This record gives sequence, structure tokens and C-alpha cells, in this order.
Amino acid sequence: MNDFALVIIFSTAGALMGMITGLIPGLHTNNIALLMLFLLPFFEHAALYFALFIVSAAISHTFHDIIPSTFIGAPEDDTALAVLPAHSMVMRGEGYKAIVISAISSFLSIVACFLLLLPFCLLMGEPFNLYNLMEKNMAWILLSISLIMILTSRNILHALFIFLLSGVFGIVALKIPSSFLISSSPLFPALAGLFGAPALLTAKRGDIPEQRIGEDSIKLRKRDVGSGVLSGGLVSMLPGVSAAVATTLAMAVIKEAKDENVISILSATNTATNFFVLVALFVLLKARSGFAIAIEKMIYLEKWNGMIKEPFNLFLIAIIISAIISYYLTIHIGRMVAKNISKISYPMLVKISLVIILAMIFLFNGPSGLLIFGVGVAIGMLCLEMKVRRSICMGVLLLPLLIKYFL
Amino acid sequence: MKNIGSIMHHKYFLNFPHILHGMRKIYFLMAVAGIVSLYFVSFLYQPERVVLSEIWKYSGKDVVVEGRVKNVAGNLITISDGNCTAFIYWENDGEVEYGDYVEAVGRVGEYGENFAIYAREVKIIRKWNENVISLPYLAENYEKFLNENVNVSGYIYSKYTGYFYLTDEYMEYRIRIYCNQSIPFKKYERVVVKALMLYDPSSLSFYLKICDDSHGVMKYE
Repeated sequence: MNDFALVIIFSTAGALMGMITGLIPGLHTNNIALLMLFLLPFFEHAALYFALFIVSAAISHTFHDIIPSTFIGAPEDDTALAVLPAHSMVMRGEGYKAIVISAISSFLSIVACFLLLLPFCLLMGEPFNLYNLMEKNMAWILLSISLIMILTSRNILHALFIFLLSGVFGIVALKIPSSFLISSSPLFPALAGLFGAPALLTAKRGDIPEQRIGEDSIKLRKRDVGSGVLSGGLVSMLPGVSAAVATTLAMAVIKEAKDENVISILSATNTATNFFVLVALFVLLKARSGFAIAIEKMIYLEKWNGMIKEPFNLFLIAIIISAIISYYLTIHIGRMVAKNISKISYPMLVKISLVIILAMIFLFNGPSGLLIFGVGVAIGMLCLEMKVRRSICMGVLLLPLLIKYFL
Repeated sequence: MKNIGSIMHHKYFLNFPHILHGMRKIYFLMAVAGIVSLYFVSFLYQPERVVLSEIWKYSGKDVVVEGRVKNVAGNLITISDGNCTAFIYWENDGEVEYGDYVEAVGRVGEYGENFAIYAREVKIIRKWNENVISLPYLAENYEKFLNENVNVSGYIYSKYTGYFYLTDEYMEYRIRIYCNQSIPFKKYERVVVKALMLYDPSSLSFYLKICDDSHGVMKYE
């Protein structure tokens, strides 16, 4: 079997693995990356293909994770802000439309990332070295994001209050090493509590309407995908900052947006972040995510010198393969779920969703994860009661980062 | 006083006690009680502080270690506590440098054939350039500083293209310092040199090399 066939096979397998991790809330491609690292000594000659598998899974994950966020309200860090608008669309019978919007936005985001690849490499690496400037001013960038979020809120005092409360929660909760049966971070229960459960508990009561399949026209705004790609690109280069901050940054600049726009922005951001995390690995030789760390350990990386050569080109091919497969899979699975979701009564769906989320939290984070989840729910509900924009709860990540950078 | 008065009567301050009422108060109290509980729970999870020679006993567990940075290669930091070295895997944002004294919190795991601490937190306890040491002290404790950044004071002895010599006040010790740029100091002027200390086996001698943005020569204040 020739090498290129293996690239295609491993990229396809990675896309399928990303589908599985995306559909199961709490399971992350970082877990898969760790597993591949563990297996590597037994397949030493396959290091490059393992790395392609991981990249493909990481991209595919960003397409599929919208499905559990939309239908059962179980968020990950990068889809947390999409839970409420996506769930609202489900309650209007537009759950399938939400999935299609997300899939198209993620796919267009990949196209935009390829178009911006060269300018981005030149800006962040040699000759402009914008990365160094951003790294030095990281604290101020984060402070600006936080201030924009708070000051553009309808009620500044309420927003500040929720931001600080979420932030204190983050400072305490994220220090607890809450891995239980499977290695995991306390972020999942925190975000499921802040964003997922409140969306389920406060959604309009009544049966889930039949989901319309293919009847709604879909219009995407170029600027939604564009702002997502730019935010993802910027944030992927910065140390200690996750895709969640990228989504927060993208949302911070848009005051009023329809549910469709929010989903489009966040999906584009989410996918672009993983794309540019890979680019950062080659341009800056910096691993900015768990999957990038695994790749860094698997293969020898040569710093980008203006030419896209092996193995960088193979990774880009893996991304294209993964994006195409993931696009169709996301739409197909989304359609399947949408067709059947209305057969379940809403109270039953809420119960099933909460049971799934609680089971996942217990599996990944144990009893301390349940406590973190409970506190998150209280803050998330308080945020809704006070009619504060949900993205303010991202103080859970932003305040600890601000403290880290300023102190 | 007028300004303070007007701020105190601002609607936000007048409304503050009222932002928490009904269900809001219940959620707030639940959140606060939960955060306090989490704070106490975090004490239960305090990892054990261990010496570097014993980290292999803690594979898969969380530990706290400390030591001086001996090497920084991408995300891999090598630290030493004087008896033993260990690897720390950390997304280094450029703050950790050779010679810094650091504390790391993380999980012990395998790294190739060795063990490493996959850190979730690395604190710099003391920066390498916080304290200035004298040239005699460096000469007498060279093993502590080899392959590390040093911050050493002395007097310019002689200058050449690409390097100069630093000496102490009694001219008992002398060390060569490689520097690509010419330095604006005169002979016998007192200076502080920030540089990397290395050993040259071909001449069996130690030397300093100015090779990083944080390095340089400045007037002793």
C-alpha cells in the first residue's frame, strides 16, 4: 500500500474518531491523542500516520460537537455559548437548521483558513513576528475582551457581578484535579453547569415540535464566518488560552445577533482554532493544545521557512479530507437525530439529557465533578435570572487567566 | 466630596442591595456555599511535595516539585535540585528561563524512557537575575551555575572584537565574555553582566556568552 493511500486511510479513520468524540459530551480528542501516544511504541513506524489521525479527529470533533450541544444541551468549552441559541432553535422546530448552519460554517471556516494560511504564517512568524507582540501584551488583550463583554452589556453592574462570581468559581474549581475514571479536566462539569443545564431547565415547557428538515432557507453572513476565523486564528497562537476565549472574543464584538448568527460564528471559531493550533505548531513550534502536544512528541517538526513541505502538506491534506467527511456526517447524523427527537416528550428529553450529563461528569470527574457542576448550575441560573448575557459566564476562564497574567 | 456623593447616589449603588432577591438570592447563596465547599475540597486534593529523585514512585499521581531550571527546550524544562534532575512538560510561555528557581504542580507520567511531570502550573519562585553575584562567588561555586544564566558583577579588564574580559576588584579572577556587539564601557569600569555560563573543554575554561534578549552588560548601580 503506498504512502498516500495510508494518509487517506488514517485521515478518514481520524474523521470517524472525531465524530465519536464530538457526539459524546466530555470526551475530547485530547483523550484520543493520549491513547495514541500510549500505543505509539508498538507502532513506531506509524508515528506520522498517528499524528494525521489525531489532526483529522481534532477537526472532525469541531464539526460534530454541535449535535449534543443542540439536542441535549451538553456543552464543551468551545460550544458552551452555542447551547442556548441552538436549543432555542430546537424548540422552534429548527434543530436541523442549526446543525446545517454549524456544518456549513465550519466547512467555510476551513476554506477561509486555507485562504488566510500564507498571510497568517507571514504575520505570526517571520518577517512580522506579530506573535511576539501579542504574547507580550496577552494580559491587556484578555482584559480588553473582558471589558468589552461587560461594558457592552445592558446592565453593567449585573454583568460585572456575574463575571466576578463566575471568575471566583473558576479560580477555585479549575484548581481541583478532578480526573476520575478517565483523565479529564474540571472544565467539563463547570461549563455543563454554567451553560448546559440552565438551558435545559429553563427552556420553554411543552413537547418538542417536529423538526423541519430542509424546509428553511439558510443564509449565512460572511462577516460571521470571518470574525470566527480571525478570533480562532488569534487565540490559537496564544499560550494558556482555549477555544472558549476565542468564541468569547468573537461574541464580544457582536452586540445583537440572531441565534443563527451566533451558531455560525461559534462553529467557525471552533474549527478555525484547531486549524490554527496546527499551524502554530509548524510556524512557531509551539504546541497550544493537547492534540498538538501529542503530535509534537510523535514526529520531528521543522520550523516553517516559507515553504509548505512534508509533513506540513500531509497535515493540510488530512484536514481537507476530515472537513469533507465531517461536513456530510454532521448533516446526516443531525438529520437522523432531528427526525427522531420529537418522538420523545420534552420532560423526558430533559431527564435523559441531565442523566447523560451527570453520568458523563461522574465518569470523567467523580464526586468533585458533581459538586463543580452544581455550583455551575447555580451561577448559570443566576445569570439567566439577572438577564445577563450568557457569555459573561466565561469569566470562569477569563478571570483566572487575568490573575495569572497580571500577578 | 460632591463627586463621591453623586457616585454614591448613582442608580447602581442604590440598586445594589436589590439585585439579589427572590430566586436570585437562593441561587447566589447556593453558588457561594458551593464555592466555599470547593475551596475546602481543593485542600483534600493538595498533591504531595516530593524530591526529584523520588518522582518515579508517584507515576500517575499529582505531585509538587521544585528546582533550578537547567534547560529549556520548547515545552520541555529540565530542573535540578542539586542531587537529581527531572523533566517538566509545560506549555512554556517564555517566562521560564535558564537559572530560574521554579515550583511545578502536575501529574507524573512517562516521557520516553524517563519520567516527567506534566505540569498544570509552574510558578517562578526566584528569577535568575534577581540577585547579583560577584565574580569570586561565581568562580568558587561554578558547579551551581554551569549551563545557567548568571547575573554577575565585576570590572572590565580588557576589550577585543567579539569578546571582553571581566575581573574582580583584586584582579584575582578573570573570565572571558563573548558578546557580538561592542560595549560602551571603559577599562576598570564596574558593570553587571547577564549571560549564560558555559564550559569550553578545548581550553579547559569557563566562559560567559551573551546570546539572549534577556542578556546584556549594564553599568553597576
